[in-house]
Amino acid sequence: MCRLSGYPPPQCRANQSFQICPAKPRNFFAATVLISNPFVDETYFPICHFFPGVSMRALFAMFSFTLLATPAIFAQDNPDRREVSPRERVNRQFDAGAPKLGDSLPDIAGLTEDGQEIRLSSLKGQHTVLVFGCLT
Amino acid sequence: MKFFYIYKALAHPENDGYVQPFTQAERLLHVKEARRTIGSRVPWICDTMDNALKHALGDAPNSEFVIDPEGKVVRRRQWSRPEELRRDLEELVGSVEQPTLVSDLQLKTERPSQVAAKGVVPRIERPSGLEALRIEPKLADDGDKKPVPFYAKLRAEADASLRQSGRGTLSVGFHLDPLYHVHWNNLVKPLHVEFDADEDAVTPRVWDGPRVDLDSDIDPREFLVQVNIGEERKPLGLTVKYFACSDEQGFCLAVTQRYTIHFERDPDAGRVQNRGRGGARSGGGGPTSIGTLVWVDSKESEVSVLLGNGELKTFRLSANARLMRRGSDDLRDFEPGESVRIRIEDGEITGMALP
Repeated sequence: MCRLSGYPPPQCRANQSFQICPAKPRNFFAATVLISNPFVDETYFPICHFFPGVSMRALFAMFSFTLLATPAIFAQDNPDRREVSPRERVNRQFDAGAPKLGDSLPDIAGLTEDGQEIRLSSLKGQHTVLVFGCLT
Repeated sequence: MKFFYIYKALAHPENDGYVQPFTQAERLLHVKEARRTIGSRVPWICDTMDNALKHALGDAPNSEFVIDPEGKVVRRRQWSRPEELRRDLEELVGSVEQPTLVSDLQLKTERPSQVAAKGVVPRIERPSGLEALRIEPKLADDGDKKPVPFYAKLRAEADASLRQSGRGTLSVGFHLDPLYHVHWNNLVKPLHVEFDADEDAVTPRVWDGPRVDLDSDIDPREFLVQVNIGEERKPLGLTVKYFACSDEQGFCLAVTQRYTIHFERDPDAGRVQNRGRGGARSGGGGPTSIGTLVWVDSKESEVSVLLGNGELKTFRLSANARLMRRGSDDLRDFEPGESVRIRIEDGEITGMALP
């Protein structure tokens, strides 16, 4: 595997730590270093670390975490930005607000098509189906 | 066994040009229009203007309930599913020998009417995250005069910053109500809006609609306003002047109307889906295809679909694409593996739904 000590390759600055790997590294950042420092040994591929003692993998993990965590932190700070899909919003409203199975319908009034009052409590005596809808 | 539709506030204003009614009489006209366009003979119960039925029964756009003879809820569903309802009814009251099919009903559906050209005034670009605000039209007129209907209706939307801090962007749109079969008169002065505020607080404070080459049209008149009214967010008044003309009834009226905008979200205002296409439903347009979703990228608004002919294609969704996935119109709710019907226009998906 890679070795962390030995003679520093010419691409790396004096204060940079480095790895010498016996095969071409596969990760993206290592490849980037190789492209910008085209020292390609037949046998060894050097990887310079940007910060002394911190491996590219650790840097990548920190970067990814920051990238992923930022929206969540924002959403916590600002409720208006919290992403709730319209479907989720409707689901929550329905679960919380609709009468449960076994409940009586609330005694609310609506209007018939000719404008007469009709109360939900009057819908008794037979099975009744109510379906919500609108023009759009 | 009885069936009722409950007519509620519009879920998607601007579809087919329909806008939220301001009065109970207008909502009852919507019921008539629904009967005319859908062709159903099921009786309607119309919700009141405080949306009491909608609120009391769970605030969902297309929910359904089955009530037993004692008035108790025995089935409830957040999104109506006819095939499941049929199974429920068979369980509750027994099956029938010859079930009625939709095709047996021979429903006579009609298209919404269109009195003048549309699609001539381009829609404005809006920032994302706008939410509809509660608006208050000044309905009562002075004296015994019969009040003039709100032929053009205001829809006001604000970004999060304006709703929270009193400083941000306000979208203002005036939409002709198709119930009244009127059009704009472009031969006279365009629609004129004035806010009751200083130029520092509302910019622009005064706005005139665009000059249009055609004599008449029915496109919305809309604009963006930068508002800085402070954290108190006191309601904002405005006056609008326009000419509404009806060729059918032979009138052309100069109308002046007043509104108050409240800087609070209106949960019953509905969500506009087809902005930018003149509000047409996805009924016409390009060809439709059936395929299987392979990849959904809701961030980039792209989907990859394995089409019936075995071809795998990636499409971008148009900005106004109409999506329908049971209870949702959100791309994030579509999942790879699902079979979908898509409508493609100019290489973009303009409509996608479960088949």
